[in-house]
Amino acid sequence: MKHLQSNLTHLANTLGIPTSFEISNDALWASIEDTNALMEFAKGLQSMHARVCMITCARVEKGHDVVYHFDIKGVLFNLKLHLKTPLLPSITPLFESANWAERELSELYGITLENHPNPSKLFIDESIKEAIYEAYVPLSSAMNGEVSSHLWEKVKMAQGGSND
Amino acid sequence: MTESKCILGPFDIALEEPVYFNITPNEDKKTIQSVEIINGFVHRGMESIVLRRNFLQNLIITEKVCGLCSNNHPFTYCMAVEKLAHITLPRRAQYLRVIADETKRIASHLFNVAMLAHLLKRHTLMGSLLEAREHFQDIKEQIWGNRMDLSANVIGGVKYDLNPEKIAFMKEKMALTRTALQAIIHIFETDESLKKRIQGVGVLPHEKALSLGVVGPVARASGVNNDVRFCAPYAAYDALSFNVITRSEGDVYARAMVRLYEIFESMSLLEHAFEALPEGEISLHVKSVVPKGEATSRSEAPRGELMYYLKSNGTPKPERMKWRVPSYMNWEALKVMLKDNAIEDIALIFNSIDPCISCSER
Repeated sequence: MKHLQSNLTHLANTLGIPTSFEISNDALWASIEDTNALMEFAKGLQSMHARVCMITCARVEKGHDVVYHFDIKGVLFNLKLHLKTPLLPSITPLFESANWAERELSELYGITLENHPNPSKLFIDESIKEAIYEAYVPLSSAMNGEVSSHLWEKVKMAQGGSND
Repeated sequence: MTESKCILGPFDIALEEPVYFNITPNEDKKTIQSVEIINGFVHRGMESIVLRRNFLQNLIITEKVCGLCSNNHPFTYCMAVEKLAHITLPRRAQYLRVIADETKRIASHLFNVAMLAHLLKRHTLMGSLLEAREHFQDIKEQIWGNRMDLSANVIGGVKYDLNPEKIAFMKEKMALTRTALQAIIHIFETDESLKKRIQGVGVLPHEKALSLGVVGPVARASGVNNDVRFCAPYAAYDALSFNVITRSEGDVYARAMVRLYEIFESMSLLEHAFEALPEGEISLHVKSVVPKGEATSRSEAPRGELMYYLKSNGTPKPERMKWRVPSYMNWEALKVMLKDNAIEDIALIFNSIDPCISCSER
C-alpha cells in the first residue's frame, strides 16, 4: 500500500494536482478540488490498470460529496471530490466499470453527466424526473410528528417563502 | 355477462425477479444483435432506510438484502463498522466468520449449477446437484438453526460457536458432498453432448472482463483473478491457503467449472479452519456508538466482490451507508456475452452470471 501511496503522490505531483494520500482503515484516501483534476487523475489511474469498484454520492449542505472507490492491484483507493454544482464529467469513457455507478448517482441526485456513453436512467422510469426522491415528500415523513415543523420549514424555504 | 380483459403489463412486477430485457435479433431471427436491460421495479431504497436506523438495527437489515449471499452483507457491514470503531476481533471469531461464509458459498454455487442442469433439461444431474447441496442445507440448519439466513455475524464477532461434535457433523456431511461432487464433475468433464451444448456459448473475452470490471466466478472464468480473499485478505483468510480457480475460455462451461472446483477449495478452507480454529472468545462487547469517520470494506461473496462504504458523524445512525453488490458489475457483461449467440441460449447465459435481482435492486 505504501508503494502505491508513493506512486499516486508522484502522479499527482506530475499532474500538478494539490492533494495528499493518507492510509486509513486499510485503504488509501485522497481529496481533489475540482472536476478538471478528476479527469486528469482518472487518466493516470487508467494507465495504472485501476478498476472502479463503486461510486458513493451524498447530498451535503452545499452541493454533493462524491467518493470514487478504485481497486488498484488489490488495494482500495478512495478519491473524494466535492461538487458545488450538479455537473460531473463522466469517467465511463475511461472506465467501463463506472457505467452503472454514474447512472445511478445521476438519477438519484439529479447530477448531470457529461460525455457518458449511455446516460439513460438505471432504476427509475424515464418518465420520472431526476432526483425525484429529493423533491417529493413521502407520507410517512409528512405525518411524522417529530420532524413535521422542521420539514415544513424546509419546504417553505425551498419555495422561496419566509421562515416565520 | 360480457367478457372483460385484464391487461397485465407491459411489465409484470409481481414476478419473482422482474428484470426485463429488450432483445433485438439479427436479420437471421435466430441470433441476438443487442440487448437492453430494464429494471428498477423492486428497488427498495434500502440505502435510504439504513440512515434512519442505528448501527445495530442495520445489521439485521443488511442480512435481508439477499438470500443466497445473506451472510456476506452483515459480514462486510460489520467489518466496516469495526474499522470505524477500531475493534480488533478475537481470532476465533474471525475463523468462525470464514466457516459461515464458505458454507454459504458452497450451497450457493451448487444451486447455480443445479439451475444450469435444469435449463439443459438434465434433471438427473440437477437432482444430484441439489442432493449434494442438501448436505450443506442440513449443516446450516444444524449449526445456525436456519436453512438460508445464518445470522452468524454481530458487530465485534459472531454469535455461534462450534464444538468437536458439531465439527464432526460438518465433516461427515462434507464427505458426502465431496463424493457426490466428484461424480458430478466427472459428468461435466466427460459428457461430450453436455460440453458441446455449453462450450463456446456466452463468451466474455478476457479484455472485456477486465474493462467491465466484472467480479466473482464470471471474472475468473475469463482469466481475471480479483478474488478478494486472495487479493485483499480479510478475517482469517490471511492464515488459510487455497487455490484461486481461473479458466481462460470465458464461456458458460467455464463459469460452471469455476464454481464446481471452487466448492472443493471451500471445503479445503473449511477443513483447514477446523484444524486451526483458535480457542478464545467469539465476540467482544461493543458500544453501539460508532466514532466519527469513514471506512470501506470488501468481501468475496459467492457471486464476487461485495463492497460497503460507511460514514459516521458520531451519532447512533450512519450519515451515509452505501454498498455495491457483485451482480451490479456483471449485468453489463451480458451485452457482450449475448451478442451473436443463439436466442435459444439466452436462459443459459443469464443463469451463468448467477444474477441477483434482490441484491441489485437493494
